[in-house]
Amino acid sequence: MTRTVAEHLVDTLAKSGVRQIYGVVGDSLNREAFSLTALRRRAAHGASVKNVCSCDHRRDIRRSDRVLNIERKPNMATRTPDLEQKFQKVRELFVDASPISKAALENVIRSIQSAEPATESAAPMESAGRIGTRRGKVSELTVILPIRPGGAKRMRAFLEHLHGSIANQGVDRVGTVHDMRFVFLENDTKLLFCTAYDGDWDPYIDDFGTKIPDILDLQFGEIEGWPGIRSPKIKDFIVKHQVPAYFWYVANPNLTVVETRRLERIGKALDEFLDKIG
Amino acid sequence: MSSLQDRMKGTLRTCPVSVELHDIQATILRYRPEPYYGTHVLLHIENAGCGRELLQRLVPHISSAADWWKAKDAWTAVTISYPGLVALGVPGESLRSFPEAFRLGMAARAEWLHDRGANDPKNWDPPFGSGQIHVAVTIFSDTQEKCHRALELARQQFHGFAGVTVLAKNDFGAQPGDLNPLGYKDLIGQPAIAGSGIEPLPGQGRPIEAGEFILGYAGESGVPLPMPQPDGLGRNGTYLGLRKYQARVGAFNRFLHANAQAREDRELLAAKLIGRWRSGAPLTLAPTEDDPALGADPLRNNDFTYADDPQGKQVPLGSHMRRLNPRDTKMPVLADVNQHRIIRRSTTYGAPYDPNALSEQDDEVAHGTYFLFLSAKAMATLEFLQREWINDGNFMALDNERDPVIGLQQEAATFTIPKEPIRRRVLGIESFNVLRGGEYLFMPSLSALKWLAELKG
Repeated sequence: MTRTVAEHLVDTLAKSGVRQIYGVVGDSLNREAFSLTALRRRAAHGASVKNVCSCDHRRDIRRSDRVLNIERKPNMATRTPDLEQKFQKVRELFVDASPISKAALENVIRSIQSAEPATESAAPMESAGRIGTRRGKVSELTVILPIRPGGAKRMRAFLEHLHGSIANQGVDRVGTVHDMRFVFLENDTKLLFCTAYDGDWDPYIDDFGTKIPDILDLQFGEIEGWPGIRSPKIKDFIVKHQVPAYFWYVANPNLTVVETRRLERIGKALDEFLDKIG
Repeated sequence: MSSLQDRMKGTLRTCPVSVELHDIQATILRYRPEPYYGTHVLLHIENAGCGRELLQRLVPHISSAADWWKAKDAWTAVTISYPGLVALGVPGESLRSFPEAFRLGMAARAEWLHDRGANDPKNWDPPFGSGQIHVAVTIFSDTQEKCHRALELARQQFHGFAGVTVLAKNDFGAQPGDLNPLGYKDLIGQPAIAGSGIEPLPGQGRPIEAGEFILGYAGESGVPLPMPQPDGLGRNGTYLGLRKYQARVGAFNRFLHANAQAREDRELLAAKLIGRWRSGAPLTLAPTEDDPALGADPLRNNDFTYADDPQGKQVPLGSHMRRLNPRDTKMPVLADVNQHRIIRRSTTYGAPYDPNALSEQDDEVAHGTYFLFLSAKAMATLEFLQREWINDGNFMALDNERDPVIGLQQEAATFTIPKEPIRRRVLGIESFNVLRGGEYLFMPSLSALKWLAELKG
């Protein structure tokens, strides 16, 4: 069964989150595409089809029965492991917890018991390679680094005055860095550096060493013992100070920086397109 | 045999040599002959004494890279796996100085290499993945006769030798036109190596620091890469990766037939997957149809950049050739392409390409490629390529798309062909090459081979 362009269009709009279509002005699309039969043949992401009509004129939009509603069927819940065992394990350890923790725990357990079973995360927590934690395509790196005496004020000066002009372009060019966090701790003697990035731990470190060595060496050159980004010892140095995250939550584990930027462009173009045909 | 100098028809320009050619094994610098014949022999050593004796006998027959661009004779190379070094009785301190991935072996690194599913080492052909391969001897030649003579010489060194077993022998060559199992001329692009004695060939780009390919010299970062110890063992050596791919020719042909009706359209589609036509002519220089004269001409067939093709409308961004050597492609993920190059010396095995092979039985015919590559950091480079440029598409903004020739394809895989007005996404890409074996091997210098042969204790 071949599908019309209009059916493809409605499918695409449904997948991108559009829930109501008020019809198309003009004769550029075949009104038959919006007929009840044609649409009921289609199943798009579990969408169910209600109150279908086609309408050619704006005045029809006011009538609520002339609207194409796209409803999303709820996801089928996947089976979850035995929760009672998990509750038991946590309760045992919470015997010595604070009264606030204990009360919150019981509330959370009650809400889990009364809610729909949670869907298992499609992206389990894994290792980001040699060290670090990863979920889907996104990994984390957390290091606590000792700062050379007086180094913190130099780092602050670079970050405040130069990072915006130069390093942001450099970091943008890297194309895999979601975020970076520079946090000065313990009276400016330690730097907490955290970053979320795409892929595994070390494939590109050699590339940083030849493409953006000065940005890296300016960011971390005031760290005690920093061997320089070009040094063969650099990976061991980072590992020595890295602490893998015990728990890593990622909202969109399959969205890389590159893919996010691509979807931003497409989303913008789609909005402009909908504006034009609306 | 025509030497490289002959093949380049007098255009080859020499330049000062800054690496010790007489100590470096020939394979690292000598290009695969055209036509090429030869053999790979995989050996197992029973004990250290026998292994050292074997090396002692082989050493006089192992060719160096001296005057490599003028050389015409057959040549013999020898490489040793980590279990082989252990079997030779190499001291523990020295063994521990080798990189971890090399010590573990390619099979044990399967997770890191994305060698899963059909490519899982548990599916490999013996003796691969067993840890039994200790020494590999390879002979390259341009005639079968020269190959046989060289092989006879080598065989005498271990024939009847109780302490050495031949695990496998794979003769190669005599493919019509030297085409690979999917019917393509291969191994055109190679890196230019600084200080190797010749200027870069047309299209190779600037010379890459020797240390990326030969241990003991400065690499692109300005310092030598980590080297096994002692110095005499590591210096002038390199690592060789071997991956035995079986070509699923039936699947490849079925895919072409399913996605293009006329023969010219099938040929164009195949060229879009690879980046070159069957003759070797690159799409950049022959955008609409093959040009066999161009494909056969080493002065022209690699002489191009991607400067005029940023969106991949000539050579798709996800094509095999562009993934494995992006050249001047502006990629959304920062990378130094000069740090991920490999020297290739692949050989074909089994029956030649059959354009009429369409059945699933044709997929099981034993033919394919021994993909051989060399680099001073071969293990790290292979892992990088497998994870970033072969089995993923993010670096070219292609999301989950994988290399169409050697990628391990998932369900519902696609391949994007950029074109006007709308890009075409081809469905139904399968894995056209399945991994049936692999190993990491160390290629010692000639003096290191002597050092190993003379080990005591």
